[in-house]
Formats: sequence, C-alpha cells, structure tokens
Amino acid sequence: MAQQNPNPISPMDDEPFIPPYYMLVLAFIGLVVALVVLVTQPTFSVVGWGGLGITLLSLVAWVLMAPQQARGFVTGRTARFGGVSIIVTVIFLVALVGIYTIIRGQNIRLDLTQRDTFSLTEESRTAIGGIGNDPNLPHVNILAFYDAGQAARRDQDALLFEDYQTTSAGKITYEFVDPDRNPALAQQYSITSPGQISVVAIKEDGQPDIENAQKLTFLGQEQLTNAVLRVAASGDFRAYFLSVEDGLQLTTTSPAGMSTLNDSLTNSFDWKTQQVTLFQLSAPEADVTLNDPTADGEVMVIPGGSSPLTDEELKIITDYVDQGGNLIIFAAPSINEDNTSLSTGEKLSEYLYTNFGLRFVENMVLDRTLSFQNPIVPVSVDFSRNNYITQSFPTGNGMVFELPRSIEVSPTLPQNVTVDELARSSAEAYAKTDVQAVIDGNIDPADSDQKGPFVLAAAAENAVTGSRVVLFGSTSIPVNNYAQLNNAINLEAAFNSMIWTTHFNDFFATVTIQTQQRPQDTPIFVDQQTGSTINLVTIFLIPFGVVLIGFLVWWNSREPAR
Amino acid sequence: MRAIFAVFKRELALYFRSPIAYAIGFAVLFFLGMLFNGYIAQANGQFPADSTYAPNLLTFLMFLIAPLLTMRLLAEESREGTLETLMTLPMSESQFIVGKFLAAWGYYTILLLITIVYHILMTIVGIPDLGAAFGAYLGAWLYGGAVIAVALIWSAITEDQIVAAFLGAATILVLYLAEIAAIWIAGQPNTTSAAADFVRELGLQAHFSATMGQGIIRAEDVAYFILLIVGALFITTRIVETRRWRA
Amino acid sequence: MIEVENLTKRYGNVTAVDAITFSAKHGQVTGFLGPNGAGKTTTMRVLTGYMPPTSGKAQIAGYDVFDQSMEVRKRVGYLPENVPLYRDMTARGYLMYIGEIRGVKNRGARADEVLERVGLIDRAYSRIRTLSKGMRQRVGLAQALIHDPAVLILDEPTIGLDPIQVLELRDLVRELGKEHTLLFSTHILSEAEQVCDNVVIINRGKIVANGSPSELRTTLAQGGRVLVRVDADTDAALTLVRELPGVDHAVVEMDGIAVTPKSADFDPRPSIARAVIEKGWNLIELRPLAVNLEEIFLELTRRQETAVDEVAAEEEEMEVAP
Repeated sequence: MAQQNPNPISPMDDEPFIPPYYMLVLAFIGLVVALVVLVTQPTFSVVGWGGLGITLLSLVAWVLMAPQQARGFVTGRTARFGGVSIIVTVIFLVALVGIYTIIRGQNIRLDLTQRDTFSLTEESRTAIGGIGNDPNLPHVNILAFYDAGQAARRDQDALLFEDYQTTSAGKITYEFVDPDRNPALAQQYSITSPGQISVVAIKEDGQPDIENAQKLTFLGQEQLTNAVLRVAASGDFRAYFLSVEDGLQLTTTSPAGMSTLNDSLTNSFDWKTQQVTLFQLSAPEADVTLNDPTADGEVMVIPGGSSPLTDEELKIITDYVDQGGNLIIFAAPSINEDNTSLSTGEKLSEYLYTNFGLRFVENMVLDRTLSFQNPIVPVSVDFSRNNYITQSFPTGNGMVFELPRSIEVSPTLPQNVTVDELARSSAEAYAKTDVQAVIDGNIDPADSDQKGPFVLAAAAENAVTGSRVVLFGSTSIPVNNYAQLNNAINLEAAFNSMIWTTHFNDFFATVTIQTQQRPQDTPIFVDQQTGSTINLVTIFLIPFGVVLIGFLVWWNSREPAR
Repeated sequence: MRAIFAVFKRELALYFRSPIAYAIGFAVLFFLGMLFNGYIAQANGQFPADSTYAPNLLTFLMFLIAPLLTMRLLAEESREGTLETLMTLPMSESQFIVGKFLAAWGYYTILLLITIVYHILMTIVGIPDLGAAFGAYLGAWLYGGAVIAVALIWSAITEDQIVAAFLGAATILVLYLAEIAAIWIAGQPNTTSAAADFVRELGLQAHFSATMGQGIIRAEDVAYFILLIVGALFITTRIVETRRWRA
Repeated sequence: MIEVENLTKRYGNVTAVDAITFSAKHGQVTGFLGPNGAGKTTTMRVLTGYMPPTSGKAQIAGYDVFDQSMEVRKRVGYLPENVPLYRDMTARGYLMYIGEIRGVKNRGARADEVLERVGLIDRAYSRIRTLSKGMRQRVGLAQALIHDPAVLILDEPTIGLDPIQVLELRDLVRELGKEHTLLFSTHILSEAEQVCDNVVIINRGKIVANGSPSELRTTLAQGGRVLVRVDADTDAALTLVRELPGVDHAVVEMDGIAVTPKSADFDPRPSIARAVIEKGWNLIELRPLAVNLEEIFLELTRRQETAVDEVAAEEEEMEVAP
C-alpha cells in the first residue's frame, strides 16, 4: 500500500516522511482500544478516553498531513483503495453505530397497541398526573430488578415506566437493576427473585425511603399505580379502635377479629391503627393526642361493646366529637344477661340524637326474604347513592348484618347536620323489641313487630365542626368472617366509612384500574365451518396457489412468444 | 435512479421466472399455514386473536429464506462474468447493488403481504389488535430487509452460491441468537452489563421480538434495521468494487 | 479520441501494463495486438472504467477514465473478451435491459435497429442460451452499440468463431470503424492487418510497435527472415543463398528456404532475387517470413532483450484466470 499512490494522477514525489495513512491505522487502533474498554471494563476509564483521544488526534493529524486524501474521503475516491478501503469501511460502520446511539438516546417510542400493556390507562394517567402536579408529594423511584435473561421484558416495560415518568412530569423516575450484579441493593429491597419491582419514595434528604418501599412481585399497571400512590402519599392517618367490654379485637385473625381490615389499612394505605382504652386516650401521660392538628385525619372506632359507657368515658368521646372528631360505631346486639349494649346506652343515644339526629334502637331486625342463611342475618341491598361510602357499591352485592338493630333518624335534624341513610333493609323485614325472645328462638314475624324497611347504617356530618359520624347496626361489618364472602361488601363498607370520615379519599383518590375487557381481549371463536375454511385457505389454497402460478408462468415462458 | 430501477425490475422479474421463488413461497406458506391452523385450534375459545403470529414466525424463518434469495444475486454475476459488462455501464456499484437488494426485498415484501391473509382470517374469528399487527408487519418488513442485506454480503464475497447461502444463514443465525449470547455473557464473571447489552443490541431479536413484534415502535429499532441495511450494502459495495479492481 | 499516456497497472508487484502511451483517432480502427497475457485486456478494462490505473493517464473524448468514469462510460461501448451475457434472457430483452440502464431513449426501436445491424433480427426473441457462439458474439456487439457510442472497445471479438463468422465480423468491425473510434484487440496479425488502420503491438505490458499495418510490415520485414521458394534443387538453392553477402544462415522450412540476415536492418530480398534470376531459376515466392504473430514476437523480443521471464509467466496466468 505504501507504494500505491491513492491518487493516480498526482505525482508521488512529495510523499511525507511518515505516510499519512499511518495516522488512520493509529486512529483505528485507538478506536479498538476504546471499544475494548467499553465492553470489558465497568467504567470507561482513562484508557478508554485515551483511546478516543488518540483516534481524534490522529484523524486531525491525517487531515493536516494529507488534505487531498481527506477530501478523497468525502468525494469517495481515495476511499476505495485496498487497505484504506477497509479503514473507511470501519469508520463508516462506526459512524452508523454513532447514529444509532444518538437515536437511541432520543428515546422515541410509539405504542401502537390497543391494549394497556405498554401505556397508562386513563385512570392511571389522571392519578399519576395528580402526583406530578402536587408539589407536596415526594419523588418516587421505581426500581425494576430484572436480570440479564429478562432483557426483552426490560425493553417492553421501559415503555410503561417511561409513560409514568413523563405523565408525572419527572416526579416518578425508574431504573433497571440487575439483581445478579447488584445483590446488595436487591437485598436491601428484599427482592427474592428477578422480575420483582420495588417502588420507593425519595426522602427530603435525597435518600430512598426503603422502609416504606412497596414491592410488586409482577408488573401490573393497576398494582404499580397503586404502589406509587401509596409511597407518594406520606399522609398521617390514624384510627383508634376502642377496647370495650366484649368488643371486637383489632388484630385477631379469628372470624370475629378485624385483622383483615387492619392489614389493609396499615399495609396498603400506611395508616396507623391502635387499639386503646378510653382511659389511655384521656391519660395525660399517654402519647396519644386526640384532635391532633399534625395528623391528616383520625377516626375513633367503637367496635361493639356490651355495657353502656360511663359518664366519664362518654365525656372523652363527646369532647372529641364536639371538637370535630370522627366516630364510627358498630353496634352489638343486646344478647347478654342484662340485655344491654354500649350502643344503646341512654346518654350516648341522647348525645347522638341531639347532635346528629341519629340513634340506635333497642330491637332486632329480621328478614325472611333477604337474608344470609337465616332470618336473623338480614342483608341490605338498598344503598344510598349520595354518600361516598356506599355510592360505588355494585348492584347485586349486599351488606350482611348479623343480629342487627335499626337506626332511628330524627325527623328534625339538628342545625348544620346532614344525614345519609347508607343502608336499608328490605320492606319485608320486621323488627322485634323483645330481643330475649328472639334469642330463645321466636323469630317468626308477629303483628306486634315493626315493619321495614329499617335503616341499618347511617352517616351524619356536622358542617360546622366538620365532625363525621357513621353508625352501623351490627358488628358483622368489619369482621374477618364476612371479609371473604362473595358478593358481600361488608369490609368495603367498613373501609369506606373510615376513608369518608377522615377525608382520606380527598387526600388521594385510590385508583383501581378496571381491568376493562377490551374487544381485543375476547378469545377467538372458531366453529367447525370456519375452521375448515381456514384449513382450506391456509394449507391448500395459498401454498398450492403459489405453485400453480409458478407452473403457469413456466408454461407461458416455455415457448418464447414471437 | 433509472439504473436502480432497471436492475430492480429485471431481478424481481427473474425471481418470478425462477422455480426457486415459487419453491420458497410454497414451503414458507405451507409451513405457516400448518402452524397457523395448529394455533387456531389451540387458541379457540382460549386466547384472543393475535395477528402478530405470522410476521413473527416469518422473521424466524428468514435465516433460511434470505440466503436462498440472495445467494444467486451477486455470486452468479461474478462467476458468469456479466459483472464486467455491467460495471462498464454508466452505473455505480451502489446503484447496481441497491437494485439487486431491492428486488430481493421486494420478493420478500410480496411474501409478507400474502401473509396478511392470516390477519384477515383472524378478523373473522376474533378481534385482533390492529396496532400490534401493524407494528409486527412493519417490523417484519424491516427485519427482512436487514437480513437480506446481510446475506447479500456473502453473495458478493464468494462465487459459490451454496457457500454464500450457507454462510449467510450462519451469519443471520448468529445475529438471531445474539440475545442468548448476551445472557451467557452476563452470567460470566468479570464481564460488565454493558458488554452483555452491547452484544444483545447487536442482535436482531433485541430489536424485534419484544418491541416491534408486539406493536411498540422504538426509534432505535427502526434505526437499527435501516442502518444495518445501509451498513451491509456499503460493505457489499466495497467488496464488489475491491474484487473488480483487483480482478 | 483515446489518449493514453504512461498508463501503468500493477497487480500487487506484478506489472501488467507498463507505462504505455498511444492514441486512437476517430473514424479509425485501432488494433491492439499481442499474445495472451500481454496486457491487452487489462488496458481495455482500464479504458472502460472497469479498473483504475495504478498510475498514468488515460482519456476518452477528453474525459479522464478514472476521474470522470461515468462520462467515459456513457461514451464507450465495450465487448468483454468472453462475451458474458445473461443466458436466460432473450437477445432483445438483454439489449432492452442494457439500454434501460444506459438511459437509451426509444429503446425498443433502437434495440431492433442494432439487432438489424448485427444481423440478428430474426433471433431477437430467442433465449441467449440457445444462440451459437457467433450469434452471442453479435449480441455482445449489439449491446456495445445500443447507445451509439463514440468509442467502441472490443476485446478479441473473433476468438472462438468459425472462419465464416470471423470474416463476417471483420467486415462489421471495419464498417463500424468508419463511424466510431474503434479499439479492438487480437492476437492474429493478419486480422489486424486486414481490419485496422492503426496497430499497437504490445508484449509483456510494453508497447513494442505502433503504426499502420503497412508501416509495421515494412519495419518488421526489414529485420525479419525471408522465405524463398525456387523451382530448383533445394540443396543447390540452399548453397546459393547461404553464400550471399549479408546472410547469416538459411534452413529448409515450409517447402522453401528460410533466410536469416546478419543484420536486422538489412533486407536480403533484392540480392536473393538477383542471384536466383542470374542462376536462371524461376523465383516462385519471396516474402518476409514473419507474417504470423508468434514469429514477429520472436523477432521483436530478440531485439528487445527484455528478460523477465518469470514475471511474464505470472502475468500470463493472471490473464488466463481473471
């Protein structure tokens, strides 16, 4: 190559001491070094930059030494000679890689699918957009722990993550972590297998709030959106469950316990729940502060209870409610020796009736037409559509009331108070005032019985104090027993009442993305007839049609036409 | 442009006059038809309609189809010596090669268009995702072009058609399996994830199966295929030129 | 029309064409004469733009063959040595194809015209693979003519043809030479003699002679051997001729006596003729012996003393297997 003059016309006598193409070789070597560093080393390091620098410098030197050759590169003449040709080809290919890298960096994506797999649904978009617009919410980072074998999934899911990032105006970021390469980090987030995703809020000091990170075992948009909302919402919501005589226990997992409710409050929504006695609440040395202004919301729950409250106890409650506190009462039936219940205590009833126009009635509602297995377990399907608690309950679902008592709504409500009758029994229901008789087995309707429909759950709000009160005529609403029952919305009712009283729904809207059935999701249906048509078309018509056309072409060209 | 079109026209017509085009067409469509029927039977009442099935399958088969399409293109010209006449016409190598490439791609495009029948059949039995179908067909089309361009290199290097076809198929398979190689590399100690990603992105699968084949168009995937075509054709041009000039 | 100056083409370290200089004028047939491996094909390939020259300069119609290759190609029609054609196409289809690439207007009419010209119009729609060697040669020629080029370059157009075809083709070439600048190569001297207005003789990449056939004949004949046929006893004639002044030696060859003069510049014919007449014999034939190319080359190379046999051998191999 040395004696081969790239330009056949120009004389060769002014060849420099170092042939210019040596510079090209040098540039090439530098490039190779840089590439090797890029591929084998964790960081690009000095060597890599050095290689690139040498490439650049020698290219410049080459242009200076042999401007004619360099021009030839552009015009594509010199470029075609032997060894130079190889170098030019390499440089050309490197340039292509460069273009690719630039385009790759632009991150331009287009999701053509009609499914929601790779893009946010409307619901998610609204919720995530809300996070982006709220300056009080922290940044959220999505860490997807995908290993090398999940690279294809990484490419796909990046699209969805990207949508989160853009929709939230950069508030939500994402990164991919290979758990095999970064086991320490994976461990921190308690990742157990590749493919899991952790959603974590970034604290004000810039550190991730790993303690409260949410882990997803698979990527579902609904789950991810909810997880993001959960970690972003650092709200301080508290629920105090009173320990009362014969009351429900918060953490008990038995059918009569409330562990399901408790778990979803604490785990999914990050509430602080506590089972306390009224005395603990009032004791000055207790670290419980009612009506705490720093809390975003709090509610006091009375889960049953057999004996009426003492005046002292009641005063703690009324003081709390009068100052805007929220109260939820699940009324227990009067089926103890004295036939008493906390809910129908005289003083409490009077307080509720005068302040909120509601009180529990000393009776038992039975229903033979709409009940769960037994007339003593009536079911309500008649819900108020005006209150958050019940408005979204689907028709066909029922709230199961076990041994319920009815709620009396005052015809003249106190000033500033509004009342919603959340759930009513059917018109066929009847109420007996002699509870003992019912216990003894006398459950058939009698003429003396009051006739339905009865109000079994009601909500009241004082617009001035802001206090919200919800009464349920039974303790069967929050218990585990009915949490899993099909078509029973007991737990949802309990849950929603806590949300409503604390305005938790305003704090952020929980999104449950309807896994909407799109027409594309319906399975195909092939009947016998269509099946054989498809068979005919795909296996015979098309392939053999091609052969036939080929044959015809051959036949026609067999004897060339004149 | 005129020369490109002339070459393109002749080569494409030649495909439809040669038995090999029909043999490939028959084999591919028969195979697709069999699998499609099996798929329909399996998915009946179970899975939603999926129009990305045929193009996805076709891209896999390309490692066989592409070399068969390209093996003749340049190998024959240089063996028969017809290159000498052509290369003294006012036509550059690149025009000549682009014309040849477009002809092979054109044949493949026709094959791909025939498979739209499967999409039509899908619309009869269900509601396929149109966007995904479009993405998959666009992807399969670009994929085919890239693979044909790569296989064409071997046709320029060797005069032996069989060797050209064999090496072409091997090259495409290597590119096809780069994804698996990347996983293997990632599993080795003392490697970086950059190395694994580099190898992966060099391959064909990383730019098709998970993205375009599913209806996600990424600029880098489109760029990858187009740049692969440009790069491969550039190399081919250089090889033809060098061979000619060294005679 | 064709101007070649110091043109050199090297393959690696083998020099196929070594600084040749010649020119060809319009309306003339220029013959490129030389044995196989002399560098004829290489030169033609350089001229048609198929190969770049290593150094030197070649111009056709004022355009540099390398720098303005496309301009040159537009003006040149080229028939390669082995006449490569697409065997599956019809003769007319092939011409149409080439015409389309060349951008010939009115292709159909032009194709017919050219086929008429080469006398192949009745086989226009025959597949090329069914044509005889001579017909293919004519298809190749038609291809070179399709765009009515100013310059025609034909590489050994008569090789492999039967005598009648050769004669036909020579006529055609002569005719074409009137309208075009025609450069054609051959290794048969008589052919060059018949057809060419100008002959360039090339050996081992170098031009050894250049001129019109008659000029060349005179030049070559002067130093060449002479054949004498006399109607007399051969031994007597041999003795007579050997004793003539200026004659180096004489041997019996081809029914006559081959006479080699002592000096290349000396023409022994007048003295031989006089001697024979003086003897009273009948002089039947007296002519330069070196009419076939091989002999001329033997003569020329003897004079030139260029002894790079190995290189030449290699060159020959390369030419044989392009």
